[in-house]
Amino acid sequence: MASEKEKDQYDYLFKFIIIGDAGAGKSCLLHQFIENRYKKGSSHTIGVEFGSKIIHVGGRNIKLQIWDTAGQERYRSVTRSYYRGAAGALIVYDITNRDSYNHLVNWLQDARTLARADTSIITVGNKCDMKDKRAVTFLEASRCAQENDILFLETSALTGEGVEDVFIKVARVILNKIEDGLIDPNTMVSGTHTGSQRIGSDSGGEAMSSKTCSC
Amino acid sequence: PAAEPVVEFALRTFAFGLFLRPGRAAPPDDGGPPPGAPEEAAGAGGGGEGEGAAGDAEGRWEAVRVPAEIAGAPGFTTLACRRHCCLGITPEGDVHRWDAAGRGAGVLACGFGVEWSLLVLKDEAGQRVQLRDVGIGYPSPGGTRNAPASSSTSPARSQTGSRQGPGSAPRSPSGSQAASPPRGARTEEGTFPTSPAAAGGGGSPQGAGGGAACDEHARRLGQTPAGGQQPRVHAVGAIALMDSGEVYTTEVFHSGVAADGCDGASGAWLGPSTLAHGSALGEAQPLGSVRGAAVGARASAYRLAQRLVNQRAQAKERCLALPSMLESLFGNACFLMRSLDASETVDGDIDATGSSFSAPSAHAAFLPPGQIHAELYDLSVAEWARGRTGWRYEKENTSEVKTRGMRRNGRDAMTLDGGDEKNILWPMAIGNVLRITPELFQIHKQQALDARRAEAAAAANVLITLSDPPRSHGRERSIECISGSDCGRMLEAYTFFRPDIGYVQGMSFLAAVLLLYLPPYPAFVGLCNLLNSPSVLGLYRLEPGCVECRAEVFRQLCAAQMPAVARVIEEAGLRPEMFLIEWFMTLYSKCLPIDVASVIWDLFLLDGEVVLYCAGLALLRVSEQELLAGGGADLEGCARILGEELRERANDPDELLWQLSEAERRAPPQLLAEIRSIENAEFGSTPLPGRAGVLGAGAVAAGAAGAPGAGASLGSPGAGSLAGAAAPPLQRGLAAVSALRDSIVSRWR
Repeated sequence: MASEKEKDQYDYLFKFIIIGDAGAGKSCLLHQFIENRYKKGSSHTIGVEFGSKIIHVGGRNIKLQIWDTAGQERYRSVTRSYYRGAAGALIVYDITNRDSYNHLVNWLQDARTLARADTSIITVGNKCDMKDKRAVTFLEASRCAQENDILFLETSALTGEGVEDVFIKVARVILNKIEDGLIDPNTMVSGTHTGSQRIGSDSGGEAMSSKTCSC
Repeated sequence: PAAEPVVEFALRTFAFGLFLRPGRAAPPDDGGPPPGAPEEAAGAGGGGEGEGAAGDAEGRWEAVRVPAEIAGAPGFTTLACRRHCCLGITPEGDVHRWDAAGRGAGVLACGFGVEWSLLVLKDEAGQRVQLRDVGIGYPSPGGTRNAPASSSTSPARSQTGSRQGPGSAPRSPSGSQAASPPRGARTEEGTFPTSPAAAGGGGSPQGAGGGAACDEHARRLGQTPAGGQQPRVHAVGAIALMDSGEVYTTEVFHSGVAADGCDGASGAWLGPSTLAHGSALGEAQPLGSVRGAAVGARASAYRLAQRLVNQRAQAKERCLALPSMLESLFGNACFLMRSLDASETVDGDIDATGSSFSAPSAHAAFLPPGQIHAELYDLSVAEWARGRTGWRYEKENTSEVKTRGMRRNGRDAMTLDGGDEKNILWPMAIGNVLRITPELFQIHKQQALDARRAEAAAAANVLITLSDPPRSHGRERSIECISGSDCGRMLEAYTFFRPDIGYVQGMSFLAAVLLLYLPPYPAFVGLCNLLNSPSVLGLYRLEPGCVECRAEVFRQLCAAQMPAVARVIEEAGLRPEMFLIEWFMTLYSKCLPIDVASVIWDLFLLDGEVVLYCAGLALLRVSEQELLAGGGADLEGCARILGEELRERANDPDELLWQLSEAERRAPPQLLAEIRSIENAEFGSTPLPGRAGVLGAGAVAAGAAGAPGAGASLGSPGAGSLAGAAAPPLQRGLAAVSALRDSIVSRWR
């Protein structure tokens, strides 16, 4: 991967979780973001899969650790346990599939209750390349997002349109929250992950701890 | 050439006794030794030849430098070396010998070297040892001699040369015959690989201990076969090639030969001998305890067949179609008899063609004649390696006997690409307790068609990627599960069959794997029944409790067997269920190449859920180095190693099978019992004893027998059910099996 060299150098580690109905394109979205390629013939996610990428936002290197969950209803009991500690949540729906959009509220509720209280949530209308099959208008979705006080973007995992923006946008929001002192970065990745060990190995760790002191 | 890995390792050589047997029916100009006294004749022959025989007097084999190159023997493999000469075999099957100075002493035999097994073991430090089993034989009387251009010697000379061999081993009567039985020698030899220093010590008892038995065997081999058929193979031996360069050959094999075999007309045929060396390798454990240690790509299929036969027999279902079915399945199927308890020794014989093998008692496995030796050898070596936990089974290469020259890639032929066994074995193993009829399948398919819009949405447009079964291609093959295809239809039909479960992601993998081997209707029956088994259905309901307790058991198993790996995974924040769900629910068909996964399927059908855990442990073991080397330091790395990268790493069914049985062997019995209780507790299902053709019958029986019996079921296919079942059914089953066997045997004769 391209990020191999800079792997060890980041200031913050954000845990992201991608949720949404089955078939909305969550895994493809993730793949497009990480590999900059469309994943052809991708298969179902069973349980959870992981991806990570370091992005540069606001003068900081931020490592995104992305949990890509299985979208099917039956997996929900399992995937619920993966929300914990997520700083960002991507709720993906399929703009050609009205049902997946209708379920948005359920996913939103899950994200609000199960992830961090201050989780930054974005709604992602995927498959925006399939304009002729569109079942959910941009306006409708963005209004809904506004009502729920969450971000909104449309993407195409196929063409890559908007994909990077989604992640950067959320990361920026989180970063702002940190810089405003709304989030303690030390609690950014809670419980299960000890990514901070790695942070400690370079200047990033100091940056982080000094940041903590200042706020 | 570089393609010859042996040469890389064969820098220094110790040899303990590969010896050549003169055949009675050897070409006329030979004037072979009289029956019963081959030693003398051989000794004389050896003396005539010069270099080799002198060293035989004391029966000691000493290190000799193997020349890197022998004129006229390109790409040779060292067979054996002793003080004054070495034997090597070329890819064409010519056996050459050369003296200590590296001068080629000519061709001993042309065109009939046989190598039928290659096994590479690796210890935890990464040092490797290859074990190869070699026989050298004459072509059958009518066979053509193939003397390649490079051969510089006359046929007559080759006869002489090959006659000289036997002098070596039989003439090793160092007085320790009684005191140091072959098995003891083997024990010592078994420990050899750790240090080169130990090798010298191991050498002498080896040669000496085998002596008496070898004499006996030599005598027997020298006899004219009753059928007037000449023994086709004149020498057997196994060679161990160390990473560090030592080469060992194992004479114990020959003593084993003598202990058992050769009762039959042409007992020199290698079946009995390898069988017996199995017991020798097992270190005072008769072959009976070796069962289940089978490795090799087909072993799991055989074991499945074996179980099925037992079940059929126990259920008194004298399925008349079975013999013919199995015959078609494995060609001239052979019964490989394994003794039931450790006190029994196996004695049997292989008839002149090697096509049938019978033994007085035991349960049966079916082996095609061409592979029986290899299988037996696999068993024994695996058992041998099993005894030494330090060794890791790395790779195995089995070639067919009965082929001229060296066969390297016999494994390819044995890979399960065709799935010929599976299309018969799997439906039998899965059974059809649901009594699904073709009509039901039709009805549900029709329902699915009618109501496509609603339910089909989940099953439609699913794309599944499975890797190509034939490994040689190695590329990915997609099975498109769009709703029009078989796979999609099957899954849709299933959602109508079990609306409470419906379609759950992961099922498509099960369906796709079944469809790889089966036509749609049997595949549907298989899918429904598979999903009906307690463990699979339990998994697919994805109750958090069920997932959790499974993850916990796995965590404990992992912590017990691989504490370092467990720690790395835990520190990375990867909880076992994060990868276990995918592994278990797809029965490993998502994360592994399909030929590897299907081995796990075989075993799962044999032994139930316990196999899934052990396979998981095996995969962790395979990934151990990567995980510990730092790749597993973070969550994503860990997940990647155990996810998409797994396919590359765990691409050898044999290795996985080996690791799997290792994992099972090491697992504490109470944990295995717990796995079974989880499995059985699902839906409060209590197993019905003696049901035939149902998933996990062995596990069920072992579970009923409680913890002590529990450990046995995976490592020993028959053991689980046999230990758990009451004695009378066992007796009945044995009687039925032996009757079945008789009927098959009589067909061949």
